[in-house]
Amino acid sequence: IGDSGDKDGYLLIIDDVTEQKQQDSEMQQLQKLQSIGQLAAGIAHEINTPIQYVSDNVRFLRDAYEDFNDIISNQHEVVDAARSGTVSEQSYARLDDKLEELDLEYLQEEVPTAIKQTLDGVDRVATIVRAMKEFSHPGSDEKTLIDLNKAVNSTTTVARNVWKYHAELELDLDQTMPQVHCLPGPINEVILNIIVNAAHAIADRVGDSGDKGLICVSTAREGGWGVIRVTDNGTGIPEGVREHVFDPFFTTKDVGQGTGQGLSLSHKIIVDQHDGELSFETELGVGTTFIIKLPLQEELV
Amino acid sequence: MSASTGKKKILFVDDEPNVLSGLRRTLRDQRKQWEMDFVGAGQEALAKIDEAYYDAVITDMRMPGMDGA
Repeated sequence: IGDSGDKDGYLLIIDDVTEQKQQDSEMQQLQKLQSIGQLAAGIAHEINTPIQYVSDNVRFLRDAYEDFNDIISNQHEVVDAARSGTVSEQSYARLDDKLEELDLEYLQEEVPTAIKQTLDGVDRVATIVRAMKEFSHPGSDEKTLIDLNKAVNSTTTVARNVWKYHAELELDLDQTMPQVHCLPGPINEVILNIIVNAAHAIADRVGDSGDKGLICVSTAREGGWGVIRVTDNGTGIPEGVREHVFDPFFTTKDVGQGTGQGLSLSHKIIVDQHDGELSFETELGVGTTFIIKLPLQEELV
Repeated sequence: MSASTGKKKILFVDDEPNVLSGLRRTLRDQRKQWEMDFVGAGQEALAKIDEAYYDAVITDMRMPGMDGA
């Protein structure tokens, strides 16, 4: 071809990739279902805890209300008697006994705290439910503008039960970050995979010592990129493993702990579906940072 | 049983402070029958048990550091 004139034919190779594409998307769906299944148990526990203390506090408030009622009707008796001119020693004594028996001072001190903790618990449940809704993004299979900070917030909330036993979480979110054009479900999935890995790396390092590691998630705007960094102070990735991190079905986790698909799919999602970059920096015994780079749209920068 | 009061002694363990205070409030009704202590971690619970005899320990299972088992 070209204009040299000495080539008079061409070879056309056609490969139908429909099936391949379909398999990829099925695999992605499967991986998503799997991680959601793993998350579900953790989320149930996260919701159960506030439900438990909300229920205990409301029960306490119900009893406290009855006690207050009791005290008030005793006081009414005294007031009524006073109005008619004679308060008997017995009704004073009955009131004093009542006040002592029910410990009015304790109730007055505890009721406001019980109400506050009840409201805290309800807020907590609402936050978790909102995060689940934002995380799963049902029905949006097309790219939309999303707030990466919100994505980080909801994903870390949904995954809280995975990291909280071994790690503290620190968020450093750039509030000036413009919205990024991407597939919300898959992006959350990538953030989740990386946070779960960070939590596992820390758990491997601290074990049952009671020490807690640290996961830092930051967002930043760097040139034309929206960048998310997830840093852990876990075990770090040993040499010899580093070059296989993004290989499909490669895992160093125990059977049942990892499928070896999380990072390979994450790579596919970031690089193939979003023209972004997914890389990591690691030092053995110090920790690992995963860096997700997503292109910002020109007109928004 | 506590020798001084004749009440049963019960120890509650949970890493979530709000769960502990919720329990403390709802179980206050039992204060004439039970002597109750509330601690936030497995290590604290073991220290308590070293100090005194408890009739029962009621504990959360999943806690940071030391689990309930």
